Amino acid sequence: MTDPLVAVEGLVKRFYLKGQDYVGAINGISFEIGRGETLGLVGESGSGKTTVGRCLLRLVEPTDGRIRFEGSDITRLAKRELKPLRSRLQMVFQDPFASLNPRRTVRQTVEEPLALQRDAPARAWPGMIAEMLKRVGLGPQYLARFPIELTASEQQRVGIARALITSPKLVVLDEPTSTLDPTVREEILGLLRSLQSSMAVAYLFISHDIMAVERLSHRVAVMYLGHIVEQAPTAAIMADPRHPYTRALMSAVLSPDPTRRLPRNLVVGEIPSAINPRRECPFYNRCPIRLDRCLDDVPAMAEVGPQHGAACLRWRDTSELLAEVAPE
Amino acid sequence: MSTSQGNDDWRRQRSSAIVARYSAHPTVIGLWSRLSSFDRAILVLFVLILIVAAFGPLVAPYPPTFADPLQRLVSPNGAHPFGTDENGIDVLSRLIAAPRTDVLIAVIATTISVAIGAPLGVVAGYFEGADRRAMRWVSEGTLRLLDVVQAFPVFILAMVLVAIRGTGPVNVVLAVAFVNFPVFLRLVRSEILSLREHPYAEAAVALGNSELGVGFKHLLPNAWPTVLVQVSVTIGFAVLLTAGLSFVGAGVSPPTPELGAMIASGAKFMIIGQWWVALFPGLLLGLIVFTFAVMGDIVGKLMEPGQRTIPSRRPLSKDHIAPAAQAEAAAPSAQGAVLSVRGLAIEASGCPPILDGVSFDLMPGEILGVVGLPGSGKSILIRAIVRLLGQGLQRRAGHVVFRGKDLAELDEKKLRAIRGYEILPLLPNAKSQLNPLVRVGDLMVAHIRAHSRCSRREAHARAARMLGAIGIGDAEHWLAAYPHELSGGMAQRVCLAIALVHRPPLIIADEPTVGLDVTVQRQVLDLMIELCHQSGAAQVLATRELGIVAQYCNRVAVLHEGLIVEMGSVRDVLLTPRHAVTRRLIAAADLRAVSAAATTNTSSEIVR
Repeated sequence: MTDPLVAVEGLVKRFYLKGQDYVGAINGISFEIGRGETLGLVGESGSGKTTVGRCLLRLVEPTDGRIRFEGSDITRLAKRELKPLRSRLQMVFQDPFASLNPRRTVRQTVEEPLALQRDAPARAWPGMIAEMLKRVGLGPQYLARFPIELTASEQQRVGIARALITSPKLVVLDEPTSTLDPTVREEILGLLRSLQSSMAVAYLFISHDIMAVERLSHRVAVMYLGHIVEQAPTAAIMADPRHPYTRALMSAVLSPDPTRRLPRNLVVGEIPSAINPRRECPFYNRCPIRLDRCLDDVPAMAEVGPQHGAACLRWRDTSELLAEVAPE
Repeated sequence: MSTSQGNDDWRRQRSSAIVARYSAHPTVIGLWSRLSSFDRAILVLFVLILIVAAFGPLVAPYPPTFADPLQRLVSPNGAHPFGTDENGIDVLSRLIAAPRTDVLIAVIATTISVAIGAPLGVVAGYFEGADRRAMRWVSEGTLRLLDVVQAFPVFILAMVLVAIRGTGPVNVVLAVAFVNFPVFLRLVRSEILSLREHPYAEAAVALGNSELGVGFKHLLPNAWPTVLVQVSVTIGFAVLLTAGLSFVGAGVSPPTPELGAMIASGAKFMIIGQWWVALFPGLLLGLIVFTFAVMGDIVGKLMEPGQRTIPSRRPLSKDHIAPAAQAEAAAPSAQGAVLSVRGLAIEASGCPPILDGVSFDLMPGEILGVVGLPGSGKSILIRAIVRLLGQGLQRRAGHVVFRGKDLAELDEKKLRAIRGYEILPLLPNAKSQLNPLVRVGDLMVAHIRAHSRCSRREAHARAARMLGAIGIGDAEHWLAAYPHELSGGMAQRVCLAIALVHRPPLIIADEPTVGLDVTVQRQVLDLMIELCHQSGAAQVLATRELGIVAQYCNRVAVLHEGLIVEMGSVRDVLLTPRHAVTRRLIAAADLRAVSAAATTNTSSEIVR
């Protein structure tokens, strides 16, 4: 990608425990996000996807690797140098209620980024706030309300308004719809999409829900145990997933159409502990088509197609192999 | 990683969405109506004390320092209702004037304590365990300093301070403030320690707040309610301390009217029968301290987010209900039904119903999905079946007939025997339901033995077999584990194992897989349905995911504003929905169905 908005190279985050032990939350991942683009980051809890978002915003300090934002390296910026960056790099949180200060009204909450950055004169704020709230579908009657007086949908709209009021270039969406009811989820995803086209903002959309990711993302990266195991444009990964874990995520989706047969469950067990990860395929112990040589090293990203990579030694014929090992 | 953390908040939020929303703009009358009559009495007393402290001397019968040498130690009479003291000063007049001294000193001293303690508490709390060493040391150092201050008994410390600086009101204020500031430092620090873990604290950092900005602008305001409770209690304590210092002669000295000094001067007459000089100030002192202490509780109650108010709900006209659902509601209970719910109505007292006449029958082995918009009453329905309703909710009408017994009418003891044995409720977030202090094995053994006679050894063996059946290998290891060692999926499977120990004929589940990862959700649901098929248990499954209903249920009931508006086989309802709400639910899931279709195709390719 030429001149990407964000370029992450070899990002590593370890949380050290007592002694030499550490949790390998992110074990060397690289990705890029273009201007106005959405990269979906899918994975289960414990895959490290939330930590990626928090590293990007420097809410946690990366252990190793490099993060470039708009061409400049932000990996080692000092705390006070980060402040001007915040207006261009924002975040929407998972829990819409808990991420709003319960003692602040909607106006106070949405105003805060403006007050912190002071790019615009204070007399312009009320107009900007009203305009932003209108964009997320909230009228002026909401200004004086407290978070507890809002529905979950309205709370998340306020969270989105707060993130977007400084016209950021990138917003990290950390599971913004996972606690919402399906009816509300669709509303919020639609809103995020329309805001993206009107404000030309790029998203890093973090979610465990591959269907939600598909709805919003231009490209998708699948994370497992701190590694990106597959990365591709959305259409390509949906049509032709090559990593067995991507397949497993898809087969676990329950279709609301009762005439469709439930696809066979491909994996059993749960994501293993991330403490002191070994240099081997992270998916080894749950993989139905594993080989002994998967234990030799972390598989390199194989080039499946244009912009489509899968970190699996058996990527050439994943679907045939899966059909063989576990017939119905 | 933060999925499990978000769950609790999500549940809290959802339950409030079901029942009500808080009023964040309480009125004075609203606040008053929240208090019990005892609290109201204390509040009146509190205001009275403040009035007396402010204006008392204006209405006193005599000036508080007016001594009449001819009237020394006169016992209570018409002219001096509380008698006079050794100097011939009217006790009542001094009593009316005295609270001003004590309360004023206490209020000023406590204000100073808060002004010093709270900011230090914010710093100590926010930087505890911080990455930056310097800040961590500031936090650490503050706490160690506190340990030193608090190592001395409060009263002795105050006396020493006054002894060094000399008596007089200003020095008493400083001494009282100094001994009390650690209280606020520790309190604010512990509040900040828990508040800084809230997502809005992280959000504040992400917005560009400095560390101190987050601490003072976002966290401290949320700590105020707790601090204010303590302020009231501390003022009471400071009054006592002031009086105590004056009593030993280290505080305010006569002739300034002050309760401790009055008690001191009267104490020596107590023994020779002139009790009134010391008794009345003593009683007043007790009353003031008591009032302020109780006021702490009252302040706490008033600072609560607010009373629940139930949004008004229009009664639905019967035309809106799909005919099939109407027919089932009107029909008598079906023969052979495991569970037959008839006209169940649940309400919060004096408010529109949350469930408004729900009726359905459940045949053995049948799996009924309950779906609806948020707040439609799904969770309440599940809980109402086994009467696990929270406070404030009650049944207004209707019956829940389970194997010939009406659970709605059954006494609590008999219901307990059924609940957990013949009917098993599975609720969301299994991990939080397991007692963290009880090992998995002990929990299962206790549950097995609660309803069937067998030895511990037999029960243990059965528990191990159950864990094997739900796909948890190495049973002995997990039986010895504590709940925090389990993952969310494992905890839900353990709940399921506990649920199925007695092969209950009915399982009622409310969002049993919410918060679990998709691959784990698949495994739990597959297991749940398989075990149901094996034992022939019927199931009511409330969920917001239509996918779960489509893939795992036989029948589905659509709940809307406390009524079943549509019910039928999963195929009929999902493929030819009649009610607008059903269509809306399907529309929300449908966009996902398009993509799900693609996945299902690719997956079935694998199968082929």
